[in-house]
Amino acid sequence: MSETQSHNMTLLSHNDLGGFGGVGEGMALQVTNKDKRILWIAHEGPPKNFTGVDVSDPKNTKIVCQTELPHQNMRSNSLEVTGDILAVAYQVYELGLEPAGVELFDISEPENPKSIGFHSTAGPHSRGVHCLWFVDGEYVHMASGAPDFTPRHPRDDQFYQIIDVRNPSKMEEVGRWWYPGTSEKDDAPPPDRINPDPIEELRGGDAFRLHNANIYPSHPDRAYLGYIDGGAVVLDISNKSNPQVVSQWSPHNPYLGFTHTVLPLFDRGLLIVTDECIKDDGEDWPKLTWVIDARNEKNLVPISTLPLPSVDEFGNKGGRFGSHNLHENRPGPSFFSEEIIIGAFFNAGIRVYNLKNPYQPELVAYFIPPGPINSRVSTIQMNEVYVDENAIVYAGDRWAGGLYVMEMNI
Amino acid sequence: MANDYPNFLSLDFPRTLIIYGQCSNPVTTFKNISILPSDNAFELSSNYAELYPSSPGLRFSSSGWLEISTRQMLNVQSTEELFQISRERVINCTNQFSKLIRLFLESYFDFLHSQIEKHKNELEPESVEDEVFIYKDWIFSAWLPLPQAHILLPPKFMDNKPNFAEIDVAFWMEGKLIGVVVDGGETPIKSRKEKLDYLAEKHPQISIVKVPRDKLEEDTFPIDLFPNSFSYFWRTLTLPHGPFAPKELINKRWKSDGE
Repeated sequence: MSETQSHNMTLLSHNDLGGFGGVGEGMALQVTNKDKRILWIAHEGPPKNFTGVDVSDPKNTKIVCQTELPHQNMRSNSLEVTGDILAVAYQVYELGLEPAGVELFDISEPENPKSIGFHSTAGPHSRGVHCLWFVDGEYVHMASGAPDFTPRHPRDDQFYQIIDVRNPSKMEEVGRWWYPGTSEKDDAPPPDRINPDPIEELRGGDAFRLHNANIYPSHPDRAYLGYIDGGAVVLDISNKSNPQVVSQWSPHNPYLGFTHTVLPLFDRGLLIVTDECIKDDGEDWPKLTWVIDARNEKNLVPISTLPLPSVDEFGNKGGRFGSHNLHENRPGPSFFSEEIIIGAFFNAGIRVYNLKNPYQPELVAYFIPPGPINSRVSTIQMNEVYVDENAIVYAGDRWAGGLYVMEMNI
Repeated sequence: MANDYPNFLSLDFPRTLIIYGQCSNPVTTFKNISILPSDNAFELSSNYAELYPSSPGLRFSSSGWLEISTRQMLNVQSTEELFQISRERVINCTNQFSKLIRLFLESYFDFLHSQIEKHKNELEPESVEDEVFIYKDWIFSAWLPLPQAHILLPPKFMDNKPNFAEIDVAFWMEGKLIGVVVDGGETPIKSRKEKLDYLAEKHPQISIVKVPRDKLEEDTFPIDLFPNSFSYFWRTLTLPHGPFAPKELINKRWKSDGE
C-alpha cells in the first residue's frame, strides 16, 4: 500500500461505509429542516442500494441509512437530491430484468426514506437507467433504455429521456432524443464504431449511448450530453417533446471514445468534457478532460486539456488512470465556480485545476490516498466527487474505499 | 534594472501598482516592469498603472494606455471613431472568456454615451463658433476602466513575495480607487478572498463596489452603486481633450488640486 500523495488538500475524515465502500456515480447533499447535512451516496454495485451519511461535522461522519437492492443482478449507480426528494437510478445487468427505471424517495426523515414513486423503463432491449440528473424538483433527465426502443446495436440502448416527476406517483416521459442511426427505426445509417468490442458483450466499451445529461435551471433550454462514443452533444430542449441538436463535438476517432460529462461554464463560454477511462493499467490511455471554447455554441473548438500526471508513473500502477466524473456546479448546497474545476481521476485521485487561463489549465491541488483494503486493485480508484458550498470535497472510491472528506487549501 | 516594490502602505512613498488586462500570471508581468524608485510621475501603460495618492484620475484622455499607429490615427475622422477605437481596446484587453466583465464594460460604455447625450446642454461650449471642441469630446474625460486588475499587495502580506488582489475592473478617480467586483455567484476561494479582504481593509483609497449579476442583466448601468463623481466625470475639468493631446494643453486644463 502506497503513502498518501497530496498537495493543497487535507483529509478531514474517511468513512468505509460499513464495509460497503464501492461508490458509484451519485453523490448529493441534503440540508434537512433540522439543519443536518446528509450526503446521499450511490453504490457501484450490489448489494447496497444507497447510503445516507451525516456529514454535518465533516471530521466525524456517521451513516444514518443504508438500503438494500431488491436483487443482486442490478445496481443503483446514480442518484440526485432536490430538497427532500431523492431520485435513484436502477440499472439491471441483463436485458429485460426488473426493476429498471427511476425511483423517488421522500427523505424528509433521512433515517427512513419512503418510496413515493417508480417509473419503469424495463423492456426486452433495456437495461434501465445508468445515470440521472435531477436538480429542479420537476424533471429527471436520464440515460435509459425504454420498453419501446430497439437499438440497432445492443450497447446503444440508453438514450436521453426527460421525465416529468412533478407528480411522483404518476411520472411520465415528456421528451427523448437518441443518436441518429442507433434506433432500429432510423433512416440514418448506423454510426461507425470507434473501437469495436464483441457485440455480445453487453458491458463492452464501444457504444453510442448517453452517459450524463446536464441541464441547469439558469439555462433550461439547453441539455449538455456526454454521449459516449458520440462525443459531446448540445441540445435545444426549449420544446422538451422535440429536442433539437445545436452542436456536437467528438474527438473520437483518433481518440478512444467514452465521453462522460459535458459541464458548461456559462459565464465563460466554455465546456469541460471528460472522456472516461474504462480500462485498467493504462490500456486506453490517454483519457482526457477537454476544455472547449463554446462562445459560439454551434462551433465547438477544443483549446486545451487538463494536465494529467505522467503515464509512466500512473499507467501501470494498478486500476484505471484517467478522467471520469467532475463536480458539476449543480444548484443546491454546492460549490460553484467557473474557474476552479474539480475531478475524480481514478488512481490519480482527486485533482483541482485553475482554469483562469483556459488555454493553460493549472493543477493547484490533488489528493491521492493509498489503495483501500479489500479493493480489487492496488490503488485508489476515485470514481465520484461532490463539493459543497463550503468547499468541502466529498469523494468516493469505486471498489472499496468508501467516502473521503477533504478540504482544499487553495 | 532592479525592480522596486511599490507599496501602498509605505509611509514615505506610497504607491499602488495595478497590472491590468490579459494576464494569467501577474508576478511574471511584475518582474518585467521596470520601476524607478525615485520616479515621481505616475505611470500608465497599456498593461499597468503605478499610482500615488495624488496622481491625477485615470481617464480615457490619459496618455499612455492607448497605443495607436500613426497610420490608424491619420484615418480617424471623428470623436466617435476615436472613442470606438478606445472602446474596442478596452474590451479586447479583457479575457474573451470573462463574459461578465465584458458585459459590465459594454454596459459602462453605453452609460457614457447616454450620459453625454443627457447632459448635452451642460457640455456644449458657450460659443460653438469659437470653440474647437464639441460636447461629444467630453466622453474622453470619463474614467478609464482597468479590466481584470491585479493590485500588488505590500510585501508584508505574505513572505515578502509579490501577491496580488484580483479586481474585475478598477477605476482611479482623483485619489479614490474604485474596485469593481462582479458577483456571479462563485463560491469564494480562500486565498483569493484573503487577498481581496486585505486590500479592502488596508488600502487607504479603495472602495469595493460589488455588482450582482442580476444588475448586469438589466438594461441600465448600475450607476446607483457608484459615487456621484463617477457619473459627472467632467465637472472638475475646464476643457476636454483626447488621449494624444499636447502636454501643454493637458497641464492647462485641470481645475482641481487633485488633477
